[in-house]
Amino acid sequence: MKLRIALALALAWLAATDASSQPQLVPSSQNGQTKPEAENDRLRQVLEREPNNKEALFRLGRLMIEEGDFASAGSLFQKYVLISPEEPGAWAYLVRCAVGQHDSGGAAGAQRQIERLAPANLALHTQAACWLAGSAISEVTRSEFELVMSLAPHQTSSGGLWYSRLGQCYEHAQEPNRATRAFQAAIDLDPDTEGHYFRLAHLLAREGMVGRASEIMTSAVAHFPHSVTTRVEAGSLELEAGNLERALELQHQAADIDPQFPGVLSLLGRIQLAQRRYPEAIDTLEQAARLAPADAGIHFYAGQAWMKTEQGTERALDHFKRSLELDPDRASTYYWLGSLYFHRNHEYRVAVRYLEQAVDRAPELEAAHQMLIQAYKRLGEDATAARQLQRYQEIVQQRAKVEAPK
Amino acid sequence: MTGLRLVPVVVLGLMAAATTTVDPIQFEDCPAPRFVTRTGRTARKYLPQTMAGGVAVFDYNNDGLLDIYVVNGATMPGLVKDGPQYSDRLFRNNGDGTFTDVTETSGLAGHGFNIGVAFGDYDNDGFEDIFVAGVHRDTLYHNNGDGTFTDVTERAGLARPDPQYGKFWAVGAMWLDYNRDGLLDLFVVNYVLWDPKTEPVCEKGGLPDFCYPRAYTGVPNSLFHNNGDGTFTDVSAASGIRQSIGKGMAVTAADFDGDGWPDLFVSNDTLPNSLFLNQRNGTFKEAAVENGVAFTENGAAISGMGVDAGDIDNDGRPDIFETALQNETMPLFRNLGQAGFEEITFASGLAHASLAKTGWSNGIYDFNNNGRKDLFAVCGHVMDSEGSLHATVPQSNIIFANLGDRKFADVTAAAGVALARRGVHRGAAFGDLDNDGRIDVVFTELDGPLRILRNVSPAANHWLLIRTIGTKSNRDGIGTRIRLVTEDGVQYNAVNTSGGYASSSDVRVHFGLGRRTLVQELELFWPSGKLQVLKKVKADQVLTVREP
Repeated sequence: MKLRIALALALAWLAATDASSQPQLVPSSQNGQTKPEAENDRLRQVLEREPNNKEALFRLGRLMIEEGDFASAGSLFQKYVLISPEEPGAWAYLVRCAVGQHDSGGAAGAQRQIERLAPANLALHTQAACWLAGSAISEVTRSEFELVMSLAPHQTSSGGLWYSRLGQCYEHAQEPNRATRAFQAAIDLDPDTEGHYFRLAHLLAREGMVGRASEIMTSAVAHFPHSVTTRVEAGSLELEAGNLERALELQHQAADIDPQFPGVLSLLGRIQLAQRRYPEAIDTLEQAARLAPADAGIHFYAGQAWMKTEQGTERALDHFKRSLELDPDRASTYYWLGSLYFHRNHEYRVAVRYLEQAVDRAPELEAAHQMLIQAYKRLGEDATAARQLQRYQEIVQQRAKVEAPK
Repeated sequence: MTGLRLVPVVVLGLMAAATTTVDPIQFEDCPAPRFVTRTGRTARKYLPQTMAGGVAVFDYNNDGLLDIYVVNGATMPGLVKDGPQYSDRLFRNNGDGTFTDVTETSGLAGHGFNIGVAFGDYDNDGFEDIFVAGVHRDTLYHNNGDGTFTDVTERAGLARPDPQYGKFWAVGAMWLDYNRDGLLDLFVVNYVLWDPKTEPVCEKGGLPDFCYPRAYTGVPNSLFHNNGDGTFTDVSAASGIRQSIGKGMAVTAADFDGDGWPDLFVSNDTLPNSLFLNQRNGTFKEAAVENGVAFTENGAAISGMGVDAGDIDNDGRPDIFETALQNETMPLFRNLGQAGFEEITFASGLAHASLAKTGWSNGIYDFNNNGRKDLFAVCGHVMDSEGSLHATVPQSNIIFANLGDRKFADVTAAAGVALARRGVHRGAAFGDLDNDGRIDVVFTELDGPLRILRNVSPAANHWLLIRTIGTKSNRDGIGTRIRLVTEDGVQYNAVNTSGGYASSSDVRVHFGLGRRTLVQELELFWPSGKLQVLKKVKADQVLTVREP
């Protein structure tokens, strides 16, 4: 049973991860109810007949968590552990419920139980640590994170996957120091997986530790002498750091391995963009887009290249729109579409549509707020412009607090 | 030389290039006084070393000729002028193309590591006074009227450290009469919190280099109200200026919203620009975002450097020309009225040519006197001139000719070899040094010589220089808006000594008149509220206009 629940947790996590990128609910074909609603009703009926049905308690608890009803979920899992107090998976879900309700006492109690029942279960503790990441329950979070890290010396290479996931959780929670430690543990355990290096290097670069990021990718290049992907990733990182010569060197190395790999062309196109060789960048990125028509990133950069030219606005719009079809969550694509419609085409209504999407996805994108305000003003919608200004000012105040001298 | 000779220029654009004609703009090197802007070079890199180079052109002795004042660096990290090599310098214009160093007799050798300079007659005695902006130390010099100056910083109340931030690092300043009471007030641009003891260590390509601005904390700017008795009151908080935290690089003033009161635009380094709209009651409202000048089309806060305001399309509304870091373009914001702006960097043809440049001091002037204002920027990269980027740090300056219809062309290549010379340029001041009606440029170079570009543009176009003398308004007439009418149409300009980076330019207002030899009407809107109208003014003269 313990194994089943541990597996269920892992699968549920994966399912939840998938679900987060596909949030829409699919209506059932029978009565218009969505699948979760139907499942909810079914499980409640089971529990009316059998109040101690563990499977129903467990499944309904998970459903409640997915719906954000942590109080109800907590009650169900509390009942579950009264029936089966020795199952660490249920205690892990109680950690999730406690985090959702900002209940530090509940989180600490549940975490103690997991530690008692499954002190070395890496999957379970990684899951709990992920749920705690970014929460205000700092002491329990610290304790659980350190527990997971203490398990690393006893893992085989397959443990690298869990540490990579742990790193992603803490990166997402904007705790770069912990994320860095987790990604490094993933590399130490599983040095033969390229992705671990990429994640750590990109995190370090984003945190301004460009030199260290470069070192990580240099070690990856040495470890994977025949990998075109590693060279492309390393080149991208150098490009973002402004080291064009090194980026070009890595691009050449990658091209020697596979000159038609779309990533190789994409990197070259981006380097040409940085060098302001726009016609060449356009040629390169168009070629890359033909080779990888479903790569949102390539279309994005092709749009960037076209918009640098006076006659390229329509082609830029085409590429940005295609990029959005492939990756509808990238705020910067919405921004550039809005910008082109605003500045080049003077179609303010269309610009507004894209810019609203940009600020919804990335409220910190201050330039999008400015343009949105301008667009509303040009449309004569001064009240909306004023509301948009208020949104922006709240961001500024937040920034001022951060930058004020201590 | 024929006055009507036109040169073809290519309007920049990658996919379609159009050719048009424009009156040529040409400069030649003019012998400049011997002066080197010293940065106190050290193996360890200190950020102020990238920022020195303020210069002013102004007539300190009222002889009708523009003199040159240059500020200088100091030892680092000591911030001490421990020898004559670090001295600020005043050079008197002899009127024959030569200058005499009068620093010692004038008392303007200065103290500390100085960055910027602004001149203005703050006590309305008829002699231009000088404010010097520096690292942890500013200086106000009162012009005694006899060729000497007195340091009155303490007495004026300008020496006090800020109660919250301590000593500011000021990079520039501007004199303006923000409350229109007839007295020039002082706006000081403050950059970042900086202390040599806590200077971060950065490197590029394994070599020590200067740190990016994001490594430092931003600060507010300062506004000092002129009390009329030789003292100033810090009204930064009361006026609302202090509410905006920035990393100020430069400021310019103009009546952006057309209400008759001076507004302010401040360029910030890696933070959004600031637009302070005068509320006509002693306060300002920051409104850059709502008016479209905080960010550029590129979607980010740029590394704003120099800034100037001027009417590029003769529609009566001052536009904004800003310089920025390489790859950021040099933004041009067109004023649509009511302080709303649209960015036309790309549409105007500026974007492509300016992408490759890091611009510093800049100016909006009609260099070929054809009635349309052109754009000039001195350039040079920020990072280390000795380190890994040494090949790309020195840059040539750039000039854009105004083609009309809000289009510009990069005419640098045709403007003479003097303009094409590469250097790590910083400050630049604009003015007519030889009173020939063509705007000359004086500029500085880090650890390099002072240079003068004499405007020798061949077109025989006509011109008018106007020196305003305020009576009820401030004596310099700063803030006076001028409307000029010829048979070719209407032009607008304003009296302003600020503009560019760390520098201060000719207080006289310049107009190019093209082929017109007569100004049909000249209207002056004085800060006092008076409107003065002159009719049938002859071209090609320096016209002094006294406020009635």
